[in-house]
Amino acid sequence: MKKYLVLAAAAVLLFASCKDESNYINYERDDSYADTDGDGIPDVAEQPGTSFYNLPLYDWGARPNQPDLFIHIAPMNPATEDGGMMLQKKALDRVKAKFLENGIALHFDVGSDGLYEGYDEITRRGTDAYNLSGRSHMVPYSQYIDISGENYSSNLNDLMDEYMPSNRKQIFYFMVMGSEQYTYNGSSGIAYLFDRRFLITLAGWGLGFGTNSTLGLSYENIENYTVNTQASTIMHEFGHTLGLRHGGDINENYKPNYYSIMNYLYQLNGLPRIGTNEWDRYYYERYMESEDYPYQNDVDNWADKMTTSYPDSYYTDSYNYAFLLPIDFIDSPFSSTYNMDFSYGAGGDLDETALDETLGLRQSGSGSIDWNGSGTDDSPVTENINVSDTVYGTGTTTLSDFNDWGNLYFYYNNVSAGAARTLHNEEAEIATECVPRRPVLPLMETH
Amino acid sequence: MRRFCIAFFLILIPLVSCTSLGKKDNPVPAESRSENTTLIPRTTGPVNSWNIENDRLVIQGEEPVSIIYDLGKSASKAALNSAETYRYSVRKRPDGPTITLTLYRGNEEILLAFQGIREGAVLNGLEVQAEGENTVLLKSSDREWIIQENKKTLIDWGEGEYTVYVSRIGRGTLADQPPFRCNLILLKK
Repeated sequence: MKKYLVLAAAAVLLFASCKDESNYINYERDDSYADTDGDGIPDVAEQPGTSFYNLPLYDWGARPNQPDLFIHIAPMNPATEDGGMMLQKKALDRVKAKFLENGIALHFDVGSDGLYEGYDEITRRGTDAYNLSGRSHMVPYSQYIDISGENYSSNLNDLMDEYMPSNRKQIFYFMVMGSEQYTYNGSSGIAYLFDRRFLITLAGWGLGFGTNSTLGLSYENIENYTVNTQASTIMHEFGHTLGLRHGGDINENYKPNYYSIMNYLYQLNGLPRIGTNEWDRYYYERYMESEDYPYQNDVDNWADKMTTSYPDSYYTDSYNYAFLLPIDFIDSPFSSTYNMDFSYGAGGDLDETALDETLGLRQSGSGSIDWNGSGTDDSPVTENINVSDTVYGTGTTTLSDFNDWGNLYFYYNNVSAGAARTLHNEEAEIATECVPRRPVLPLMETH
Repeated sequence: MRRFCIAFFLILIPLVSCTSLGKKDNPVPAESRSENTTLIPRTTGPVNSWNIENDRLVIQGEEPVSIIYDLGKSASKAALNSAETYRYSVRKRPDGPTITLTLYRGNEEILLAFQGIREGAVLNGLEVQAEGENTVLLKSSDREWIIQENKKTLIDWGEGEYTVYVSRIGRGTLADQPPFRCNLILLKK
């Protein structure tokens, strides 16, 4: 009897893995369908035995009571040993977990290759392994890649046109895990606002694996750094497609009380821990900024303030040339407790003409921050505290937090099923600087 | 027996296909998994050799370092061949790093290369300002020069005459593109 049971179980397993999707009821976009969770997928297409534009979204995890965002990832063939191009599964895990905490299900689809654990490529199947399609999404290596343009050997828009199946363009976001940009070489990524396309360019960032005896970094430290940098950058660029700017709803950057990784102050170093050295990212930024713009501030002063609490962060090279690294920060990018998040908008305002230094970042439980580096906690203080933003951060104004999570824009929830179906790339680019509008999708291609 | 065989294969085949799909051969040799030196944002040391490949100047010293370098090999050969030591620093920023490479002959700075510099940066006493679409304004304490992109320009500054070369001027309009950035090389004659 046991033998038969084993046999039957194996047969069921095999049968289950070979679902016949041709019997699924297929739906396409129709404005009359209800969409309870506002993710752009009608409720009827988030039921068992259904598909949406012939994509089995329910089987891939879509449900009618949670926003489901599908992301088609096209990894560029790394061609080199640059860890910045090797998309880490753990990075996707962290981004997915953060969205899930906020009730949003992310469904990454890397395809059958181009996903890594360390330097090892993994090619498992299934939703947990981010391989929904079972096919390769890989695009050819190119030393440079940009968002558009003719001077580069590769660009995001052409890759989407060429490599993303047309039915996926009805519901998937599109991400390329690329190399580096030509003119903006070194930019961690780039994205269209209120859109579905974004590009990660972390080649040449020194990301990788191993140990570093000079800096006292373990394998775990360096792995954390690579994973956290990728995760933060993916979440940041994806955040742009969801309508978030560097100041939340505005472009003003480096606002310390905008507690979000959309803020450059926190994108690569993570969010500071409120109430425990919550000043560290700010002081470090002032120190770094003072080095590049020595006429603005006192490098040594900001360095001294850092090393008071982080004495081991000073590194001196063989020529006695000293500098600071954020290795020992609480929840640093080298740690497993690294904190990346969008803001919940809970922070109070910071009036740069009347700062109360005892109130710090103005979150619940905040400690003090010496905004002007005077050595004492004063009030009121006048100081431009987002000086690193040389465009929007000049002068002294009132800086505000923003509720990112409460204001996400889901591209496909704003897609019309109407007849006027042309979305030209240039039009979309202009839209990035405008108020979001209701986009329309190109017609399905027929096969 | 036959049933056993069928059951065996029915279980074995999915198991084998799952596990064999798990991992590919490791593409990176084991030795590169040990010491990771690319994280050090600043290094100094002797110049053992140099090369320009794929638009990058690569200095082989105690640690290999590289920077985008658009001036070309022939114009730089003499200086690069006489370089004895280097200093290299990287500041990582989300919208792209700023990288500085200085080459020395003795205590003399013979080549300074900057990648991704932003408007207002002060480089060894020279302030960089955005100018026209394809030009950059360099300002010392008492003089100014307008430098054309992708064109060698001679300036008298500080302790001598320098060839200045500006490339890849970028004026970003999208998120994560800085409003101004460029690469700049100062090569001592």
